[in-house]
Amino acid sequence: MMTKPKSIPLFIGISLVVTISITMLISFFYTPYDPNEIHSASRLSSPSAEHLFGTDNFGRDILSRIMEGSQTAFLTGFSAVSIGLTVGLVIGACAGYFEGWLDELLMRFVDALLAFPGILLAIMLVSVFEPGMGSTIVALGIMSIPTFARIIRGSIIQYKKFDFVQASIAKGAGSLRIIFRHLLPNITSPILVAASLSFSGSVLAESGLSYLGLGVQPPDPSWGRMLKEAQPYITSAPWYVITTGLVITLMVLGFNLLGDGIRDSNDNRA
Amino acid sequence: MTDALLTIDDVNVSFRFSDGHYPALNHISFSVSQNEVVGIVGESGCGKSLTARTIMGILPDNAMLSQGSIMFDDTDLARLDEQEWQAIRGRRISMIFQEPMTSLNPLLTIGRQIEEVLKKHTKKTKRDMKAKTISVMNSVGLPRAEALYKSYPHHLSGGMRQRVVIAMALIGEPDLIIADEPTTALDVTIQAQILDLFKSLKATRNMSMVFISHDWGVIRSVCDRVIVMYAGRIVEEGTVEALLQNPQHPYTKALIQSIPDHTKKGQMLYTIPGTVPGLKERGSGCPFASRCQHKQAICEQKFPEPVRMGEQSVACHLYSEAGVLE
Repeated sequence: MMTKPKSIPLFIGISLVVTISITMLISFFYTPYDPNEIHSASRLSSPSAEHLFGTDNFGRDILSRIMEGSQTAFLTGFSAVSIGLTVGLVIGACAGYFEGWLDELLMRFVDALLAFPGILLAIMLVSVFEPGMGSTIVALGIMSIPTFARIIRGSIIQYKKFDFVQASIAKGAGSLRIIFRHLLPNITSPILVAASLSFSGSVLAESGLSYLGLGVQPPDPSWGRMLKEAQPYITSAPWYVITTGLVITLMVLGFNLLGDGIRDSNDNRA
Repeated sequence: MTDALLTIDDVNVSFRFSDGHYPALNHISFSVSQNEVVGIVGESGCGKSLTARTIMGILPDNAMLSQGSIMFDDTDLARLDEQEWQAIRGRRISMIFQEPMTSLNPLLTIGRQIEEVLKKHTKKTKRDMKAKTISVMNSVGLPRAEALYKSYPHHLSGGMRQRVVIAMALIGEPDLIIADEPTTALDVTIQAQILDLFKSLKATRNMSMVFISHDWGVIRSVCDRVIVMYAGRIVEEGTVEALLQNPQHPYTKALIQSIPDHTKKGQMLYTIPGTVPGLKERGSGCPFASRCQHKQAICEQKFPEPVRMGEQSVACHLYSEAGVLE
């Protein structure tokens, strides 16, 4: 679909996402050090050839921990988007296609979800259940339902008016066939944009929750918790905060630029 | 008429708005016989397309059939549920849409879209479906059908797309085809080709059709009988020849008078003053009264009963007993 990125933001977005993804994949086989290996001799050492991003308060290699943490980030982002997309797709497609009272009912439910500030909803859910990777993912998934539901509903309503949908009804096609065969393929690009933005949103929210100690629990590595651990040493070992923070920023920026880029390239085409 | 395939009897369709219901089709009654092509003419906003959609059961969400029956063979289409409709659409009745540019899904190949009807209604194998699709594509004059089968709509010109749309309507071998202005969106030369296609299909396939158009030239070349609609009512009905040579209703007369042809070269073309009254501006009288040169007092009060006059029937007070013949 996008063999030649036409815009610079899209190019930067793709580069960032690809770089971080590759780093994540490498971390399954190789990290410079064992991310949990403690070297009390080299506590809080500044970046050097030996430890590119320096070490933390236990003497653990920060780069290795960031690499390991990227697995968590991708896992939560991906799972949360999957949950949000699946539920949002069902809600949005039903609401948009059938309209009427079903639409009202489903969209009021979505509005109710939307009325909570996202992170607050997540905090509430996490505190009702046990904090941890699982409940973080579920909470972030629920948080992203409204975005998907609204975008899919809107696009379906827009495309439903097209003659080819009417023509397909006139051919005797049923609702499911029309939704899956004729409508959804036509709205993949807004869904892709939403998925990309929602992915970065989930990564950011996961970091936020973990920073507050409500998200991913030890021993699972998490960027958010690394930030929290780095906080006391913000003046004595600023590289700890900066490298971790920078990686989160680049990840979020990458997916945001990717999403915006896809949207722009589609606008240009139309 | 004993061999009527489709009999529409006293159908009313109204639109629901926030401030009430507004009738859009009033007491529509007509029938289509086996092997007959019935044309529907009228200006925009007269309910031609709505009539087509009513027969097809694809009314807009805020419109509803409030009265009447639509007998198709022995089934009353007005009383079908969605499941029963799906068995009829595409297989027994199919529809040709006006806009070939938008009536094809941009993301599916031509072959797939034509085949969709077979997939729904038959249990043919993939190979049989493809063979059937290719043969229908050939019969509507699509060249290089094998190659086109795998093309996407954007590869095709408007005329070719309309042939694809026609192939989609034909492949299920329906008993009735509803064509909603199938040539309006095409340029004149393509229009002539598509009309020739309709004429040859009519001769070879014994199709029954409802053919909607606002173009008398098109109507004359394909239709046997014609219905003139105005503001949701049938004002005149008859054979094409009778109506063209001897129109009775002032609206039909005006429509025919405003057809441009070479004998009128150099003269001002006749146009009907005013516009079709909007949905909310229609009273109980004759909707054409405000634009009619022969308006009488009664026209404002009551819509006339149709009167049979030889080959045609007219709904106008000029010819009813209550009215005064000039």
